[in-house]
Formats: sequence, structure tokens, C-alpha cells
Amino acid sequence: MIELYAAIGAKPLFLWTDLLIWLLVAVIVLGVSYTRKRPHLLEPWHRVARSRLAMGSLVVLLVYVVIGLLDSIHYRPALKSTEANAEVHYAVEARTVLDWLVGDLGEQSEKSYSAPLATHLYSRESIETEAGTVRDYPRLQHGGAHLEDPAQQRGDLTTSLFVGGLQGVLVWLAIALIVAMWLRNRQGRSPLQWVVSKIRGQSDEGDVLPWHTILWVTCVVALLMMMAIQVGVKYHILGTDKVGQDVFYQAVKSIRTGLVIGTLTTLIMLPFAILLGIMAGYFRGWIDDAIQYTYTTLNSIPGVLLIAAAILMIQVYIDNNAALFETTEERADLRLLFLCIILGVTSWTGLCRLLRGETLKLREMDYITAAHAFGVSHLRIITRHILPNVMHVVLISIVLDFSGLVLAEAVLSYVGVGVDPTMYSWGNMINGARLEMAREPVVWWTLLASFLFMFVMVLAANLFSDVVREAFDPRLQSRGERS
Amino acid sequence: MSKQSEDQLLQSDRDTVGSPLLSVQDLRIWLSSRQQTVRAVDGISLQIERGKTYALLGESGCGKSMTALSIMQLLPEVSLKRASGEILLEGESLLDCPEQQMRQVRGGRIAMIFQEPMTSLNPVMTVGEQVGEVLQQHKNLRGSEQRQQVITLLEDVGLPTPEQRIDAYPHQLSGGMKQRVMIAIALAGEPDLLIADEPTTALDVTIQAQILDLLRRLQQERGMAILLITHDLGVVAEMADHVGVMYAGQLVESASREQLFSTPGHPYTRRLFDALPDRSKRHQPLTVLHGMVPPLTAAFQGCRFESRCDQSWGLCRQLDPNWFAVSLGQQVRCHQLNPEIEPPNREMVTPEAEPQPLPVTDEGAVLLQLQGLKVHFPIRKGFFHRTVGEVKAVDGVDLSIRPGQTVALVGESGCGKTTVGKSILRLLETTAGSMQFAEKALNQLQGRALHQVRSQLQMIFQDPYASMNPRMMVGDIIGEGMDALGISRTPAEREQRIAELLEQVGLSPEVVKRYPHEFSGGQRQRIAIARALAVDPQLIVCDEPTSALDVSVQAQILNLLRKLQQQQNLSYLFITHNLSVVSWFAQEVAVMYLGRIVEYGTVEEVMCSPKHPYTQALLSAVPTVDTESQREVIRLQGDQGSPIDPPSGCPFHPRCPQAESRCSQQLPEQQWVSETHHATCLLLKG
Repeated sequence: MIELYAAIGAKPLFLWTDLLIWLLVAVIVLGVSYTRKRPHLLEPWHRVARSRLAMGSLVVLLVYVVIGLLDSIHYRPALKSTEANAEVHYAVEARTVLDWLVGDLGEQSEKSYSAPLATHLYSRESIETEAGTVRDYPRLQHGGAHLEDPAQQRGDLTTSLFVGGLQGVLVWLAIALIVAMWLRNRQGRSPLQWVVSKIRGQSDEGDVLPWHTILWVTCVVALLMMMAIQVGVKYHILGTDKVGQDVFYQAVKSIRTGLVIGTLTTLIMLPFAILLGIMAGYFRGWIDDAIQYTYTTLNSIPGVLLIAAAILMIQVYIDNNAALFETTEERADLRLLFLCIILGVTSWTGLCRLLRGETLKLREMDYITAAHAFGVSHLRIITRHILPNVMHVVLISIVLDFSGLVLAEAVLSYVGVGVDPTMYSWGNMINGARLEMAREPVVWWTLLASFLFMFVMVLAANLFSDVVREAFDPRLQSRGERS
Repeated sequence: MSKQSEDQLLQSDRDTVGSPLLSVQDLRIWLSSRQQTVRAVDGISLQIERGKTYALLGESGCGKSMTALSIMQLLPEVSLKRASGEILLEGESLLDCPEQQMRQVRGGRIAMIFQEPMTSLNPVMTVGEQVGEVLQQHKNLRGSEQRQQVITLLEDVGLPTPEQRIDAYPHQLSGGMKQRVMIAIALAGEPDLLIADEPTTALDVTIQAQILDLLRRLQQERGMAILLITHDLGVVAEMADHVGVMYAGQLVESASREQLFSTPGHPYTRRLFDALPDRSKRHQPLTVLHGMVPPLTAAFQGCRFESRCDQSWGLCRQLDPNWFAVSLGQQVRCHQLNPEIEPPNREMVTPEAEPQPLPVTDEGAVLLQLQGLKVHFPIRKGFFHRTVGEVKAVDGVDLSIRPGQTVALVGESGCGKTTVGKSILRLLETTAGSMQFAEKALNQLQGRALHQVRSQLQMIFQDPYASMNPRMMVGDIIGEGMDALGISRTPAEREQRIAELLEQVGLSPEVVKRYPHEFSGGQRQRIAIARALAVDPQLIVCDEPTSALDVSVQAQILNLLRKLQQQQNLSYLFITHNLSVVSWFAQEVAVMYLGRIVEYGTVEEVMCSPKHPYTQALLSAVPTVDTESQREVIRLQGDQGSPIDPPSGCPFHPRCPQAESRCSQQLPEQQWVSETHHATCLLLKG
């Protein structure tokens, strides 16, 4: 193994959150393959697939997820040793596959603030020239450094955008053609003819997916991505922050943190909420009392207090046991994991209460009575009758919590008990931007970047989940048929 | 005055004298729902005269309520695709009326009352405020003047002690009183036309009789026209002057009440009458309409009723029948009655219902015996859940059911019938009394023994929409009991058994992989029956199994239940409030009032010579189709008492028209009228 690592010049680094994220991916893949064979489970997903809104937002979400997943494979590059045959050492700072893909974008730092697409710093500095010291805006080291004369910037940008656009169209066309070739239902047309007909908005008999929408959204995404890459290698698209780091790079790297907090926290919270909520509503009596008192008590302790206590404790532990962690990422990751856990522990009460109420309603339904009359066991009633009928509540609250948690992370970072300050996250970015907003002239791009990235992700997630909820709610299905 | 305007005046004078109050011409309403277009109303024409009642009769989903809503211009604008035709209120078109003006019409000239009094009133406003709102809007009354007017209105609708009730909130009133308040709200604007959308469907028979009386009285006093929407032929017979029968978005017959009930023209109308259960049809299966109302999403070719009509021929499939008069005032949409069309020369076979013997019951054995059954629910309050009182839902019930027998349990809602049914299934714990089932003390069984007896006792519920888990497939729903009780052996046997059961209840075995929401109410009720049958029960508690269904579907389900009883020697405890179903279906009847059985006997005894004043009142309050017989209707005042604090002595005495002073002091005992007939009334003694 060690030889292999040496040969490729990198050693994988397994972080807890990475493992959990990939476990989640594996569970989803298994779930998909299980559902595929069962037409009755597939039926509501077909309804989702038919929705143009859902598929459009799914494409956007997928881009986020892919970036997040690429960012969840960590490795430590080998350090170049000066002498031959020496033991290979690996860097203390881990990199991810995403870093490798974007190249040295992360390392292209400037001295300080620079505006989006700027060629000069945002503030005047004393520059030593042949004519003596002048106070002026110095040129950036990377942003637009290839230009002889900053005045050419406009022309250069136009060219880059054009090239990027062209590349985007080509990439998109390639994806579309691959999809078309893989499809069976092409009605005897060549892949190209198929793509053209879909772009024109023709839909075929037997089409499930709204290809028209999917292709257009993919086209927009591909264009934006390729343009960003073209421009991004030459300029700082969204400027740089106080220490001169590329804001665009930070925002992209923050995607992983957002996804981790949004998904892992919910996963940790769900078992508490579902189990306790349903038990309280179903069994009533002293079980209900005990659970109610528990969450009422938990609710009356300020959540921030609990989180702060837990995070500070884990920070002390990390500091005292520095030897356990070989890299800074491992340290930051442990803190992230505990943040997820403690957020999960403090946020299950809301869903628990909802589920208790819903279960109270359901347990009086005739079909539960019928199940009792058959002598069906409590466990079976809970798993077969109650759980599937409260899943839409769970689904809705997962999504609402998702955006709420991403925002909570920002608030906690502000207080100083959020993710590790060295970690890229929208919360840390907003926290930094807080001071910049008070600066004169205002540095607005950090806030805007984190807002944009967060907004698009939360919006896409909300739109998608809305369609999922509607597709899974049989009451919405039958309403049309009953009236 | 110019000549022209004089002409106009004359013209309008003539119009108001000769023309009806409301005239609907060729109304068509298309709604869009989930990429489909529903032709909810497809060419309705009707006229309503002042001071008359027009009844719109039809099964659910035929477009009755849509017609009413379009008259009020209350159709959901989002889904409304197209509305054409004419709705004229005193010659003024309502379809083109702008919303601003329409608000004056609604409540002011046309008012509406709805089916569900529980949800039609705002729970956070007092009764007085809700009535006053209308007065303010349409009469511009405020302050003490308004309050005075509200009290007068509440008095008009027969709300007892209106001076106090005016400040009551809806939850402090009973269902009947809420409906009275709804009527008061409707009357507040002094409308010319009152639209009543199933005004009594959610109410008990005795309350229904009160409300129908009230509507009739108000109509006479105020000369109001009523558009009555109902599915109940009995209510039509009591109320209507003119009747329109709707089927699949069209009127298929329009006639005066007398004509309709003496010579129904359209095959659909005739089938509706035939499907009504009553005692004279006891020995034969009910005539059923096969299938369902066709979906209104497609364009029709030919007669809409053709697929369910047993007298159709080729022409019916090709040509849409015309709307023509068969006699003065009676119009029909059917080829068969059209004098211009020669029906094919063939014998009109009226399917002769084969006589069906009543189930024979074994006189000796007793399957289930209840003695002094009491079920009390404690009312708990405070932090430590102290018991502060009891709801005496069932307070001493004796009952016995023999194998293969049907015993009906009759009573108004809240009298404890369902509680009896659920405690027999051991879904509720009994407080006192004994239950013997197949020689076992049912209420003492625990653990395994109880688990074993579960398969012999089953239940069918009222609401076919709530009785099935919407997320389980039909196959799993039926198989659930077999799995839980360990009856199914191998998966193949299980599958085969489910298929058998589905066939037995008249469904195709292919439906196992479908979800409940894909089925209609009647089909769901069949699935519920199959689910109960799956574990081979001996006794099935049927809790109002047909009261949520249309008449024609009710007949199908009742026939099915009786067929199964004959095949498998099942016993039924049939809980219902529908007395005509009882007289067709049951052998013995128990009448319940406030947790006690007040009368018990065979169907003949109880239905023909009721002894208890409550039974007499109940029987007389049922609206009947029979318009000839002038029956004396006993009107009960007020509502059933509360089971928390039942009246002293005989629980019925506060409402009893024959009550004497001793009734309020002495608890009556069972008085045997004959060997099989007893009633619990003090008056029978002396």
C-alpha cells in the first residue's frame, strides 16, 4: 500500500464526515436499485420525474452534489523530498479531488481585497517605482496579470466569455448526445435529431422525463460553468477577501460544508424525532408524558448554550490531544461532525412534536382500529401504518430544516461556536463579510457570493422537495378524483 | 315619459309576472384538474318559481353542487376553464355580473346553506357576530338595532333562548342548532332564493325532521324559493314541488313531485326507486345499478346512462337522446319514451328478482351474549390526571346474536352504538357486564387466547376513505389480518386466497397491486369486506357500512353482505341510523338511546308496532318516498342529553311527548310485550 501511495504521490485521508457522506450515497444508490424493481414504489417517483420544475431544480442540485462529493475525497499529496530514496512525507494540509481539478485556483492569493474581475487592488498602497514612491492601486499578482495593459481587460473578458460559451455549448452537446445514445426511446431518430427535436419542445409518446426542460437547464449550467472556468483562471470572478484569497473558490469549497451540515444533521435528528414522536402519539399515557417532558425540558434550554458548551468541550479535547490528528483537516472535521451531532440533538424537538400530533390523529383512523381487530402487533402497526403516513411530514421538515441548518451554521460561526475558522463555509464567509460591510468603501462581494451560492442551493432544494411532497401525498392525488 | 321607456317598463313588468325567479339555460361548466378537463355540468336548464322548492336529485359526482356554486358564482376561478349558458335571476344575467355587484346578490338575493354545519361556522366568532355580519353588509344595521334583529332571526329559526345563545360560540351548540344558525345567517339578507346543499345529510333523523319543518315554515312565511340539493329520495318527497334528476352532468328527468313518484320516466329514476331498501322487498335482493357514474372527463357519444341501463339498444349507443316532454310538466331524456322513436320490437324484460329466502337462524345456539355491558370513559383533568367524571357511553346493554343472524343496533349519533361494537371486538375495555362469545368469557380473555378469538370477530367501518391505509396495496390490506393471525400458509396460498376473496366480493383479482385511492367508495367498501372475510370470522360488526354511499351503491353492498351471510352463515351486528336499511336487512332490532337499549324485538314487531315513544318518534321522523300515506309525524324537541350527566329517571323523558312526572324520578325496567319484544318504558306498565 505504502508503495502504491508513493507511486501516485498521494495518500488518501479518510475523514469521518467523508465516510458518512459516502455511506449516505451508498444507501441512496441501494434504495434506488430497490425501488426500480418495484413498480408501486416507483409510481410516485415517476410523478416527480414528469414535473418540469422538479427536474430543472434537480439538475441544479446535482451540480452542487457532484461538487460536494468531489470535495469529499481527501488526500495528502507527497512532499517533494530533497534527497533520493528518503522516506516519503505527506503534506499536513490535505487536498481534495476538487482542488486537484481546479488546479492552483486556491493558491492564487493576492495581498488583500480586490473587486470582482479587477486587475488592481481595492485600496491604495505605496508603490516603489522608478519615479519614486507613489500611492496608487497596485496591479494584482494573478487577477488579470497576463494583460499588458489593464485597458485591454474588456476585450479580453469578451473573448474569454465567448470561448467559455463555445466550450459550454460543446460540453452540453456532448452530454446531450451521450444521453441520447443511451436512450432507447428515440423513435428511430439519430441522437442529434433527437436533441434538436427536444430543444424545440416536442415531446414523444412514452416520454417520462421533461427533456425539453432538462436540456435547457443543463445548457445554462454548462454555459455558466465553462465561462466561469475560462474567466476564473485569469481573473478573480468574485474578487478576493481580506487576505487575498479568491472568493469564488471559497464559495465553491463551502458547498461541501453546507451539504454536510444540511444532510448529516438531519440524519442524526431523524431517529430521535421519528421514534419518540410516534411513540408518544401512539402509546399515549405515561410514555407520552415522559417524552413530552423530555422535549419540553430540552426546548427550554437555549440551544445556543448547549451547542456552545458541546463545541467548546470538543475544542478542548482537540487541543489537548493534538497528537491524534495528523492534519488540520482532521481537526476541523471532528469539530464539524460534533457540530452536526449537537445540532441534531437540539433540533429534533420540533419534528417530534409534529409527528406526535400527526400520530395522535392517525391512531384514531379506522384502519388502525382494523389492524387492532386483527391483533397486529404494535411494532407492525407503527412501521406499516403510521410511519409511511407521516413520511410526508418528515420530508417537509427535512427540507425546511436543511435551509434552516445552513443558516444556523452561519449564526453559530458568528458567535464563534460554528465550524472551525479554518474551514471554508458560507457561515465563515458571512461572518467575515460582517466587518467588511462597515468598511468604507464597502466590500460587498463576499456577502453576495455566499448569498448567491446558498440561495440557489436552498431554492433548488425547496422546489424539488415541494414536488416530491406532492407526489407522495395520496391525499393530494385522490382529491381530483373524489370531487 | 317617452314611449320607448314606457314600452320597456311594460316589458319588464310582463317579465317579472310571467317569468320564474331563477332561470338557468343550457349551463355548461368545464373545470380543469390535473391536465384533464372535467365537464362537470353539461347543459342544464331549469326554472325556479317564487315560493316553490326545486329539488336537484342525483348521486355524488353528477354535478349538483357545481350547478349551485355556479349560480352563486363561487366556482374556483383557478380551475374554471369555461362556463357557458345563461343564469338569469329575475331576468338579470349572473354569469356576466361583475364581482362587485355579485357580492350584493350573494347573501342579499341568493343565500346558501351547506351540508356540514360544523365547518360552515367560524369557531372564533360568536353566533351573533356571524349573523350580524350579514345584516351589516346587506341591511347596513349596526349596534343595538342589529342585535335586536339577530335575536329576532334566531327566534325565527327556532333556536331556544336566543337572548343567551346570541353570545355563544359554535362549539357550545349542537349540530342541529348550528344548522339553525346557518339558516339564520342565510335568512339575514332576506333572500329571494335559498340554495340548500344537502342541508340535513349530516344530521340525525329527528333533527333532520326539525330542520325540514323549519325550512318549510320559513318558505311559507317569506315566499322564498328553495333550490334543494340532495341525494335522499325521502327528503325530496317531503320537500319538493318540482324535481330535476341529474346524471353525469345532465338532467335526465324533470317532473313535479307527484309525477316523479307516481310515474317515474327515465330508467335511471326507476332504478333509484328500486334500489331503496324497505320491508316489502325483504325476500328478494335489491335491484342494483351495475357499475358507476361514467367519468366526466371524456366527451360522450350516445346516452350517458347506456352502459348501466338494462333496456338500452343500438340507438342508445349512437345518438344522444333528446330532451322532450312526455306529459305536461314532465320531461325526460330517453329514447325509449320518445314517441318519435320506435323502440326495437322485443319483449321488455324487466328482470324478475329471484326470491331470496331470509337467512335461517339456528334457534338454539347463541353466538354472542352481552349482559349488562357498561363502558364508561373517565374524564381526567389536571397535572396528575385525576378522574373528575365519567362519560357513560354504554350504560347497561343486553344483546344476543345467534349464528347466521343479523341484529341491527339503531340510534342517533352519540347514543353509544359504535362503542358497543368496538367493545365486542375488544378494542375498548369494558367497565362492567359480561360478554360471552362462543361459550367463552370474551371480556376476560387475555394474551394468546384473545389473539385466537380475534379472527372470529371482525368489523366493517363507515367511512371507506378512512378505513384503509392509503399507502398500502389492496393485496397487503387484505392479507394483513392473515399475516397477523398466522392464517396464511405459503406465499402462493396467500395470494390465491386473496384472489378468491376479491372475486367473492365482486372485484377483479388483478387489483391486488393497486392503491385504495384508485377505487370508488363502493369498491373500497368491498375491499373492506374482503379484508374482514380474510380471517374467516363468525361475527362481523358492520358500523354504518352504507351510510357514506349512494343509494345504488348501497344496494350493491347490502346484497353482497346478505349473499355472504347465506354462503358462510355469518352473523352481523348491523349498526346504523337508517331505518329502511334495517327493515330490509335485519331480523332483530335493538333501539338505543343514551347508552341503553330502549326497545328490542324482531323487525316486524319494532317496525310495525313500536312500543317505546322514542322508537315511535324515530320511525315517524324518517322521510318516506310514499307520498300518499298521511302519517302522523311525532316531532321530538331538543337534542339527546349528554352521556356525562344523563337526565334522571328515564333518560328520554326531557324529549318524550308522553312523559309523566314519574318518568323523571324512576328508572324504567324492561317490559316484555311478547316473547321476543321488550321495551324499557314506565308507561307500558300501567
